[in-house]
Amino acid sequence: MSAGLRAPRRTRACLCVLTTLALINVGPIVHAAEVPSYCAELRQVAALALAKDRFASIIGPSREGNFLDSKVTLPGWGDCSFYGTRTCTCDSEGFKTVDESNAAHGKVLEEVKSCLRGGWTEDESRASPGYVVLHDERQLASITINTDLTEKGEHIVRLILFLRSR
Amino acid sequence: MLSPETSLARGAPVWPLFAKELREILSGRALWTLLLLACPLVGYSFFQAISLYAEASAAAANSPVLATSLSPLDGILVPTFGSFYVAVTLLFPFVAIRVLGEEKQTGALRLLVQLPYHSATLVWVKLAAVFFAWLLCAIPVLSSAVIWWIAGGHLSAAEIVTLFLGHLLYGLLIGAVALFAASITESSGTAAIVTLAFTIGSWVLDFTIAGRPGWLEWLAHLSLTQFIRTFEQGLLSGSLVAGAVVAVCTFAALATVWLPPGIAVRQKLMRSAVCVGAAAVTLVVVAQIKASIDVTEDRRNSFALADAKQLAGLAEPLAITVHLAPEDPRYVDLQRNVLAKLERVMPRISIRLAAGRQSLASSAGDEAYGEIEYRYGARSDTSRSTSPREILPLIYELAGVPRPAPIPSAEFPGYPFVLDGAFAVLWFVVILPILIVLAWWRSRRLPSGNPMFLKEVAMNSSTKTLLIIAVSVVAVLLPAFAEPVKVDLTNETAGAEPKGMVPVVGVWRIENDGGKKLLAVDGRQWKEGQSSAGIADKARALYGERYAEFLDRVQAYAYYPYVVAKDVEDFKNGEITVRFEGLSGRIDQGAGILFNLKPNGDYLTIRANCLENNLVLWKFEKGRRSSVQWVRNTPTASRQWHDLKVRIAGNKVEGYLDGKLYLQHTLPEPVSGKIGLWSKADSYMHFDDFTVAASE
Repeated sequence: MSAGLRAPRRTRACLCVLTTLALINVGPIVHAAEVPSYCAELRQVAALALAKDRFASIIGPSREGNFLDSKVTLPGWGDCSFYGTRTCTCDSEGFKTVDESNAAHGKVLEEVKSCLRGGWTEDESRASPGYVVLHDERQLASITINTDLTEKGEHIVRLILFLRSR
Repeated sequence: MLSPETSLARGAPVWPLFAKELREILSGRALWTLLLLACPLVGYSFFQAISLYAEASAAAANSPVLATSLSPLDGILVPTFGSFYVAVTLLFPFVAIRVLGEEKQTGALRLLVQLPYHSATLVWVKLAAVFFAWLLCAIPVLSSAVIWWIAGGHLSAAEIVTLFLGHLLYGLLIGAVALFAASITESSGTAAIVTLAFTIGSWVLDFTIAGRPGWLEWLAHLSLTQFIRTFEQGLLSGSLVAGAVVAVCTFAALATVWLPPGIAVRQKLMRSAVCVGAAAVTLVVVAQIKASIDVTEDRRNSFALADAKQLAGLAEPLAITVHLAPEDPRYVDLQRNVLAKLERVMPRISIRLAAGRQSLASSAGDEAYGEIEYRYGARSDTSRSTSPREILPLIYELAGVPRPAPIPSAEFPGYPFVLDGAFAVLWFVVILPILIVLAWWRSRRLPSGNPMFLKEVAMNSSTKTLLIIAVSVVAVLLPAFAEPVKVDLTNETAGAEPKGMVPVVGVWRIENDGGKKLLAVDGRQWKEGQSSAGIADKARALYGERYAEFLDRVQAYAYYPYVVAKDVEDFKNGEITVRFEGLSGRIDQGAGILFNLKPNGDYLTIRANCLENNLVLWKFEKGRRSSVQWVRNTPTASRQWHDLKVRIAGNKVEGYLDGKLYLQHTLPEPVSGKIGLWSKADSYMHFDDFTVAASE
């Protein structure tokens, strides 16, 4: 009996250890998908898109052409800026190959979806390889995530958040 | 005026006679020689005209206001028909004389008048044959108009018909004079001298006494050059047409009088005097005809619609006294800009030239010289202006009527068009002369049997000859111009805006890429909402009167860069293709073919996007964009060239990318409008090989 009673206890202990180990290993992955490092800033920008004054509070000085500086930068992203007053865009770090940028594209999509959660949904009818669209639930703003090849020959992922209705 | 020999034979069929006359003309060398000489003459004038017109059109591309002064009537038709006029004046008498001169010289006329026909019938049939010959002679000049039209040049039906009518009446008059000359002389050579004396004498009148005061001025009006000039100005004058018809009939009647041999000269002279007297009376009557139609698209012979309507309603007589010498340039201006238009529109107007008998030199001491007095009813006023802007308000004030509000009407947009003259040279110097020689050769191989049967003649000679030429013209011309039209960038200037396309929104320029010129849209420098530089002029060049509406829309919704193809007025069916390469653009790398562009600024576009890998048919209405059809998964890599094609068939639209059909859509209405290229936001794109293949 005792052996029979001990066995389940060991099993439970093993399961606890295994679960703890699993959580330790998988934790960062789950954590990264659920809460990307730029999530707070992304949520801030997304909230402003739906606010009364839109992006006015985070638009900086003018750049060349129709571009303006952004006062908010998504951590881990580069060259965040505004195109006009209705479109915010950031570029990822550069990748050497298109495969790397495609992998990053899928990762960013999951990150953004998990960050913005239920308020934004992917419009699969508009998706193409390397290009996805998310709309907010009121269809007032959209986010596109696409890949691009820069003049330097780097493959990047680009996130664009823009107001839909003019 | 019936020949006593033929008075018993009324009602004999005229067709055999007409066939004989046709054969007579076609078998002679004069007609074919004229045709061969007319080819280089007309061809050179046409080539010169299209070259000058192309230069002016190119200048209009940089300053679109200039486009409004570009009229194919002045730039192409009048100079080309002018060379035909010279050919007809100098050479056509020899063709016309042949229908009678040969018979007189060979004695066949004595046999002819014994046939059961009136002398008048003989002459009228000969005149009909002359008319037919003139039509043949007009083939070179008409082919120039066809070339212009098929190549995409604008033609106004009313203008070309009026010009053609003027030259036709002139040709008939020359033919009638030639017939008369042939009837009063014994040899063709003498008849030619008489006819040329008439035609060249008319030139002399025009060169030497035009602009002279007094009766010389009246005499100058008899010049046939002046006659043609009215038609060249796009004015269809009732009195002029009627006068020409009377003149043709008079010379035909005189030929009828002098045709039959065996009648005393004194009797012929008396009959001639009766003819001339009747003609003079008729001419005086027809000269009273005031009706005339301004057929020009730019209404150059008329006041603005509102002014014309107001002036037509003025009941009392308007008396104008002009203190200017006829040769004074101010009088010429006044006559052209004001008096001629007033005469056309006002029912009761009299114009008196106070210095009519004076020359410019002798009028120098006259204090009133230069003044123009206007008297309407009991009121009068004086002005020195020759401009309708000042004279019309003066007349309204005299009449006590307000200046009318402008009536909206279609403003003349001008028709700039660049045509390469290479084919014209080939046509007039090689192809057409060869066709004429072949037709001539064929006409000489005709059977020489009984010439009195129209059927034989019609089926074996002239009809086949004409058919050969007509079919050859169609066979040669159509394939030459059925080719798609590609916007040629080779003559464009790198760094400048394109000349063949009109940038409406965005920064569009020609760029040199490894020695090849490309069209680029550069959204990097462009600020959203900015239309292209000089947009008002460009809008006017594109849409004329409706430019304001177009301009308003463009300026209100300048969110998407686009250029409009200048030479495509209305694209309804066919294919539009372009190659593009996405160079950069963070927000977009869009390249589209724009079509169905309306004067209100609405349009459709099918665009590809290197950042999105999709092909979308967008609709723009009142500045608002909405997607009509969205096709996913269309690989469009950046920094690679792609082919984009739009095929339109009525209301059916197809979109192709890199040769693959991706998009098919049926619109609620057929496509109709201008076309161009489209882009978006900060796209920096290269375009090349923009090709338009319109089909019926």
